[in-house]
Amino acid sequence: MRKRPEAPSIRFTRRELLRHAGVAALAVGGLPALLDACSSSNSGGSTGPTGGPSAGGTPDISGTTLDFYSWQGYDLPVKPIKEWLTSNDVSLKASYIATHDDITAKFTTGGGRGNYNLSTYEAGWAPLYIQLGIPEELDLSRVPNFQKAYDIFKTGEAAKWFNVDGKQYAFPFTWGIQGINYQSDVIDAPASYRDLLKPEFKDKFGITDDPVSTVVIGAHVLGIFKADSLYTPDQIAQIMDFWKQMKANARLIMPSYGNMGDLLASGEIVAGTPGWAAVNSFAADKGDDAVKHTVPEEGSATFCDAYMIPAEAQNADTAYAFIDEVFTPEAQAAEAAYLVQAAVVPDALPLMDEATRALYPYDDIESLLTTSAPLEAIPAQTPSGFANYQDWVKAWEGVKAA
Amino acid sequence: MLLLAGPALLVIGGALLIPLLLLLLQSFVVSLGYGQLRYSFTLANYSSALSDPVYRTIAVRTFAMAAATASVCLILGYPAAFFITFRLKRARNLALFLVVASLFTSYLVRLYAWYTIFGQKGVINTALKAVGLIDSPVSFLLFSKWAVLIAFVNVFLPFTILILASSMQSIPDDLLENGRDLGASAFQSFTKVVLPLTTPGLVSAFAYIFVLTSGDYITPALLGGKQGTTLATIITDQFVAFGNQPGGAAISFLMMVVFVTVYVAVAQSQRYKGR
Repeated sequence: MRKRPEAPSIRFTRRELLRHAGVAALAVGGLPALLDACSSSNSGGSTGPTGGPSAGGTPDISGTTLDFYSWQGYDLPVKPIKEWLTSNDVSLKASYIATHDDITAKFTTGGGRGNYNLSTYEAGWAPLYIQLGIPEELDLSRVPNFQKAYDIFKTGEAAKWFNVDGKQYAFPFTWGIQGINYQSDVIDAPASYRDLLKPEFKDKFGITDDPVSTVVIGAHVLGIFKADSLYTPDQIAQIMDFWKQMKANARLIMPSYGNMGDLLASGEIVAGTPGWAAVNSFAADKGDDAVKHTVPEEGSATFCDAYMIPAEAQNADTAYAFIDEVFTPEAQAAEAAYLVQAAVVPDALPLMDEATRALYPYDDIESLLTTSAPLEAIPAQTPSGFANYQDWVKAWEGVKAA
Repeated sequence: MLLLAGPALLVIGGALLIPLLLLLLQSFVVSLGYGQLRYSFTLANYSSALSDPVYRTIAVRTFAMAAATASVCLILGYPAAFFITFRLKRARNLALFLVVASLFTSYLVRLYAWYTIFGQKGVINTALKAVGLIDSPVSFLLFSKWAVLIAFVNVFLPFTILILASSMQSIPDDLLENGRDLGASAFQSFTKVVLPLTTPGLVSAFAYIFVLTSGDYITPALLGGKQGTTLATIITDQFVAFGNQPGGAAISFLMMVVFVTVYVAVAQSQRYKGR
């Protein structure tokens, strides 16, 4: 997930505050940042899988700490994981992010190396992160439960973001799709993103402040979507022109998905895009069960998050054991319900309640993630003539300023 | 004496001057993106920040809102502070406590409260509908620059009153009494004594509110609708999304230059008026 929402949204805004505190600290702590930058530029990936198990089999992890740095919720405060932490005498120390960029900053200039043994990355960030040496190469045999996952995450189309050149850098544990959230008791599901340009939607919908999903959805709408995300500056300009039209008809740009849930529940808007199935849950928490999520005919943005063990991590054994536990059907079912995101282990489906299971098209997972909503790259560095991620963000800033 | 001042100097030096210097130095370094730097001198971070039309648009929007907020806070806060200081002799402390008490509520809760006031199902729309002035809720109240201005004033007015009241309380009673003894009217006492002596307070309050408002990004994001992006958001993007510390440092420093310029300009204009 690139800009993970949170429920309730106030929790998110507090984290936004923390994010800015972090930014201020980054600005204030210039010298350490400069020094870190020097060192990070010279660091690369490891030469082999990290943290080989102690001789004699299963390593003893009791009394160790899981130092976690990622989205709030991805530390999985659900019953099976809590029980696992207790029974293994593992302490969890979590620090949370507000945007995916926080992970990049933390493990390049932010002094994160060596201080965390568990983090995550979204599929599209893989090329940049591997280039920057952020994730360690992992030992597939240390996570036997991962074999329970759908094939598409192990060897199929979705696996290529985590297993690169035969090296496993991360284990995908959750995914989701981002189309349009709407008030089902007020409007019918929009069949197309362009429906929101109609006069009847004037000042009645919101646009989420998410530069990646907006580019991906815009590309789908214009029929130029490419999984490698190599768009020319002209194509990015066309995509942003589409969003400028959308903005002209929209009521607001929403700072977070949690905020979208609030606004849908309070009746301020009847639809929001880029959406997320979890927004249904956020609105339901506010007493509105009518908020639904739909994938319009053009397609959707898709995300898939994976656990990684950052380079120079301490207690890698603990991280491996935690990751393995996450792929048990019980943990996957609990995770899907808690995060309102999709599971990657089919055996988890019978353990889910009907509402959780119905949120994502598990029956169609292969075709969805292969053709209609494949995962897409974050173009951190691109060949000459193509727009990179910074160009995307910059172009999106232009839409917001317009 | 130096020993006593040591801790304060250490804090000012360590937490303000050294970071400021580092910020300045960082702004002249070449960014390779995603936290990678090349240590060679460049002015490109400044030139790109100044020449970017998007940044200029957002800067104008940010500083205009900050100036409007600071001005409205002074216009509303000055009479309130005057009343509390000179008219509420006995209840002055209680009144100041009530001003401070308004700050006890969480900043975010206060922002969200505007949803329940300006929203489609909010207090104003409900009232207008009840008296038959509207058939359907009006939507322009929320998610507009006016909503942001009102929320900012609501948040920062107590600070303004406290600064101005403090400034007014430092005026010796003797001066006002002497003025009256010499035949000055209430208006003359105000213009010849109170206003000149509270000018530093006015300047401080304006600068304080201007700086805080310029750096705020949550209020515009939550209430600003389609115009919620501020310079703080841009700086965040530079540092976090781009990993471009030099670019973020350059914009931060340019903001600081604006702050200092505004402060000096306001201070000078007040000094000129006082002559």
